[in-house]
Amino acid sequence: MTIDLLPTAPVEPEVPRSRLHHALASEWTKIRSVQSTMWTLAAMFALILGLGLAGDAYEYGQLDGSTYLDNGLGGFIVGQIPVVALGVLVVTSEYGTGMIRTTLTAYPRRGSLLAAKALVFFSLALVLGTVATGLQVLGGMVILSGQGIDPTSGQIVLAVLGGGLYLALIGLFALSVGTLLRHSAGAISVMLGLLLLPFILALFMPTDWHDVLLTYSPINMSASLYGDGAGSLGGWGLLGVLAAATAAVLAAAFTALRRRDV
Amino acid sequence: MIEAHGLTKKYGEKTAVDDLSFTVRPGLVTGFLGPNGSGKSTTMRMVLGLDTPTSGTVTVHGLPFHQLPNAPRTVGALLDAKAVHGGRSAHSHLLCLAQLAGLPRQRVDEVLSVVGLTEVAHQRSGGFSLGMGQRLGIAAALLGNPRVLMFDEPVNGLDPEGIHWIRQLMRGLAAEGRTVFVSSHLMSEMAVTADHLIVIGRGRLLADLSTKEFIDRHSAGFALVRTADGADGVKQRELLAGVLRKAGGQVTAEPDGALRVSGLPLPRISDLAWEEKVRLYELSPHQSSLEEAYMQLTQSSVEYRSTPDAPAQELAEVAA
Repeated sequence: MTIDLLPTAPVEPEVPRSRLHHALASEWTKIRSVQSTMWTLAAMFALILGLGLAGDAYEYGQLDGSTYLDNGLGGFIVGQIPVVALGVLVVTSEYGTGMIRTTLTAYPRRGSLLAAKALVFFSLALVLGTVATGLQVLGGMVILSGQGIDPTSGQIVLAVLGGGLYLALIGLFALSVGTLLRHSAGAISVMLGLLLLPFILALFMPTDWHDVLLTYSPINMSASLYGDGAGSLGGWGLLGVLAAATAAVLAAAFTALRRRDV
Repeated sequence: MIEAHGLTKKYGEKTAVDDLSFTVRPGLVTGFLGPNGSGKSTTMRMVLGLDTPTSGTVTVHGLPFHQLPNAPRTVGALLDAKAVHGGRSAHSHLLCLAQLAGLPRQRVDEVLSVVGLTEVAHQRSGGFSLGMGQRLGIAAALLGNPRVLMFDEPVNGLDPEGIHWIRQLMRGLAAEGRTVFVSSHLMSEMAVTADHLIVIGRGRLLADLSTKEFIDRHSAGFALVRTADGADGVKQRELLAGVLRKAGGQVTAEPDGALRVSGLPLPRISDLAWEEKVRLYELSPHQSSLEEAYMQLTQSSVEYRSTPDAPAQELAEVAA
C-alpha cells in the first residue's frame, strides 16, 4: 500500500448504528404517506360496516332462530380483499417503483427491514380491523339486541378480536406472498385465488377432499368467527391454523429476500 | 474509498462483470466509463450490496456494504432517479430515508434546500420532471452527509443548466475530500468532470488512469496531407507516403484520398514533400477527439453494434 497523500476525511462524530426502531419509524412514514393505504382501509371499513349494518337493518323485527352476529359475515368476507391488497402493496409497490433499491441501500439489513414492514402493517391492520369488526358488532347489538337469540360474550369476543386478528393475519400472509412474487398484480391474483378457490373447488370434490378443503378455506375460517363454520376446530382453532400458515409463508419470504439480488 | 478485488458477476452463461479490480480514492471525482451493457450498473449494485458477486469482493472504507454500521452515513447513492414512489411527496420520501439512518427531521429540509426543491417539497413526486427527479435522488444521497458518493448516469436526460449544476456539485464534494464515483457512457462529459477514469467494456477493465494521462495519451495530433487527384497524384501520394514512413511517421490512407500522418511535425512533412517534388494541395493540423480515442478503446467490447442498413445503401447507390 502506498502512502495516501490525498486530503483525508475530517473525523466524523460517532454515528448511531442502524437499528430496528429506525426501520419501524421509516415504515410508519411510508405507509401513512401514500393514498393507497387510506383507500384500502376506507374500503375495508365501508364493506364490513356497510354490509353488516345493512343486514342488521334488513332483519329488524324478523330475526328468529339465529344471532345478529351472522349479519356481519358477508361484509367480513369481502372486506378482507382490500386488507389483502394493502398487505401486498406494502412490499410490491417498492419493487414496482424501484424504491426497494433506495431502501436497501439506506438499510442493508434485509431481515430487519422485512420485520419492520411486517410489524407496522400487522399492528395497523390489527387495530383498525378490530375497530371495524367491533363497530359492526356494536351496530348489530344496538339494532337487534333482544330479538332472536343474543350471542354469548365468548361469541362476541371471537367475532371482534378474532375478526381483527384474522384480518391482520391474512394481510400479513399477503405481504409475505408479495415479498415472494415482487409483483402487485401477480400477488393480488394469488391471494384472491387462495381466498375464494378452496371453497368453490370443495363443491366439486369427493367427500374426503371436500371436507378438508372446505374446513380450511378462508371463507369457512371467516364463517367460524361468526358462529357459522364447519369442522371441529372452531374459530380460535382455525385462527391458529391461519397463524401457522402465515408464519410459514413469512419465513419463506425472509429467506427469499435475504438470498436474492434486488 | 471503494476497493474491488476480482469482482465477478455471472447471470447463467453470461458474464456481466469479469474479474474487475479497482480502487476509488477520496478527494477525486472518479469516472466509471463504458458502453451501454458493459457492466457499470451491475458493478455499482454489487458495491451497494444489492447484488451478490459470483466471486471476488468489494468493500467501502474496508467493510462489505452490509457490515457498515449505518450505511447512509457512509455512502450516498443515486442509482435511478425514477426509483421513487410517485404518490409520495418529496418531503415524505426523504423523511422515510432520513428515519432509516436515524437522522433528525430538519436534515430533510436542509437537503431539500441544497437541491432547490423546497418549493415543491409537499407535492407528489410522480409529477416531477426528469431534472427534478434527479435532484430528489441527489438529495437522498446527500442526507447522511456521507464520505462516499455514487452516481449512476446522473446527467442522463438533463438540460445544460442541470448538467452544469451536477458537475459543480460533484467537483465540490470531491474538493471536500469525499470519494465521488460516477458512471457515464459519455467520454466528453467525464473529460470535464472526472479526475480519474476507470474504463470497462464487456465487464472487463480496459483502463485505469488519470483523466490527464488519458488525454495526453489519446488526443495526439495528426496532419492531413493531400496531393493532386488523378493517376499522377496517386503515384505522388504513394511516393510521399513511403518517404514519410521512412522519416518515422505513421501514415494511413483516408477514404477520400488524403493521407493521415502522425508523429511528424507539419514543417517536416512540408520539407520532405518539397525534397521529393510532390506538390501538396492540403497540409492541415488536426486533433483526434477524446470521444474517438474512447471509442477506439472500447470498440471491441461494444455490446450492441449497428450494421449498415442494406436497403438504405441500395437507395444511396441508385441516387448516385
